[in-house]
Amino acid sequence: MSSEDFEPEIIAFLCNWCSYAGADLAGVSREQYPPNALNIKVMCSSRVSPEHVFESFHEGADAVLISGCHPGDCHYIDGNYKTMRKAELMKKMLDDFGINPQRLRLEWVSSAEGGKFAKVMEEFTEEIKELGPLDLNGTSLEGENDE
Amino acid sequence: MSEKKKIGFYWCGACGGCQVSILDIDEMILDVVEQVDIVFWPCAMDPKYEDVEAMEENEIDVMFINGSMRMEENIEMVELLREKAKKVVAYGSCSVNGGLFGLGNLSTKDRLLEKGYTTKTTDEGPFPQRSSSVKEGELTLPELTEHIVPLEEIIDVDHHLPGCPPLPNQLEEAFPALLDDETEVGKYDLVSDKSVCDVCPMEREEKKIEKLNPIQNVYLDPEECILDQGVLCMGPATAGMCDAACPEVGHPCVGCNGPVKNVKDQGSRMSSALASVIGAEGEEKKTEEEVMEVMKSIRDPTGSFYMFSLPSSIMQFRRGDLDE
Repeated sequence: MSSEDFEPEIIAFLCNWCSYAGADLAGVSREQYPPNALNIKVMCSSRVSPEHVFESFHEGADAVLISGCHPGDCHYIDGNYKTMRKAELMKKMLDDFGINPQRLRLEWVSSAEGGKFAKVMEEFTEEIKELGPLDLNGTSLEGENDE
Repeated sequence: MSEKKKIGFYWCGACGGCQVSILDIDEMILDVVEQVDIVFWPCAMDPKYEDVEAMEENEIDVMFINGSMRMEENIEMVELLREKAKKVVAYGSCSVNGGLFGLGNLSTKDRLLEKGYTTKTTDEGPFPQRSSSVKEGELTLPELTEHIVPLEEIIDVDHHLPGCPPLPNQLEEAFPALLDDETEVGKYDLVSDKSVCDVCPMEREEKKIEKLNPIQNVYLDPEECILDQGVLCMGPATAGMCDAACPEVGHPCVGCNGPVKNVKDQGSRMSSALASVIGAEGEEKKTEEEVMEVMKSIRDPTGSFYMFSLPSSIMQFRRGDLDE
């Protein structure tokens, strides 16, 4: 598949209080952004367990985005700090599993940042298009980023 | 008296600890032997492949298989044993979750062989040849498998009995239940739904852990929770059939029992648990870099969190799917 035809499938976990509202605002303000992401609303970004991320990759996602409130603004006081640390651990693990850690992205989008949401989506989709589809077939276990 | 049950033990790629653990039940072994005939046990007897082949279908009542599926020979043998056995029990963490050897899945077969035989990490010796000619003829060795998968990926498994190795208290419960036809035992009934933390006697305070230290750098307080003292302990994500035997004597849990019942991925659970308890107080006033400083003290998360369960994790299970 050539890189122009490739439309990545992205799973986006958005927190109920900031990022999902931000995505809503992007829609209401008619911001244009690529439709590659499947948005999943979670109550807090820290609800996203590595199990959800790994399962997404396992089921065929090319990339996963986790988005929450800005640090300090979490509705549950410190949920996003936990997300931050979890994401770091997940990236290390993905790297060991032979998957480029760039395929997992953590972003802070507030409910007032519809524009930022559209921009993040655009950038991320572009980035994944460049990386190409995630090939979980045998050989990729050598490591996507080993070469 | 009814006829004696026939049981067998077989080892695949294993350290041998599981075989020894069977004798760990002390005098109870006499009760077991009274009830059963051990018809197949390569560690203690000298049966040949042909002897198993000559057995009738379902001749063995309970077959305990331990060890990881590291060689083609292991796979051939367990497939044969499946035909000859009524019940197959995956015995020990290697056959249940892939075990310690499962970490080899982070590399490839060729790289493992290369590292083991051609670099100075071990004594340099001859590279293993698949076949060699001797005066009696051609001798061949079984091939290493590309990667290790849990036993249940290869054959149907009736019961899981994890542990590295399973402890006497587990066996005292498991043997009578498995040998009695009346008792219904579910596939995962021998895996605890409580974590090691749930059964651990150490005092746990709800406090933030500011840094993880290697165990040799800390004087551990024998009363206090090991994780609280800043040493990585796998207790939160590990099934607690062991009654926290290691933490009780001052050694952090390494996760040998694998994940708790109904949990798929031990490493994910450990990441979630750890991410919630580490970090400094008052981090709202700090920059993201300062907050993330603590992450540098976690060494090799993949190796530590998946030490005994990598092949049964979500990201590894896919290999089985793709092979078909």
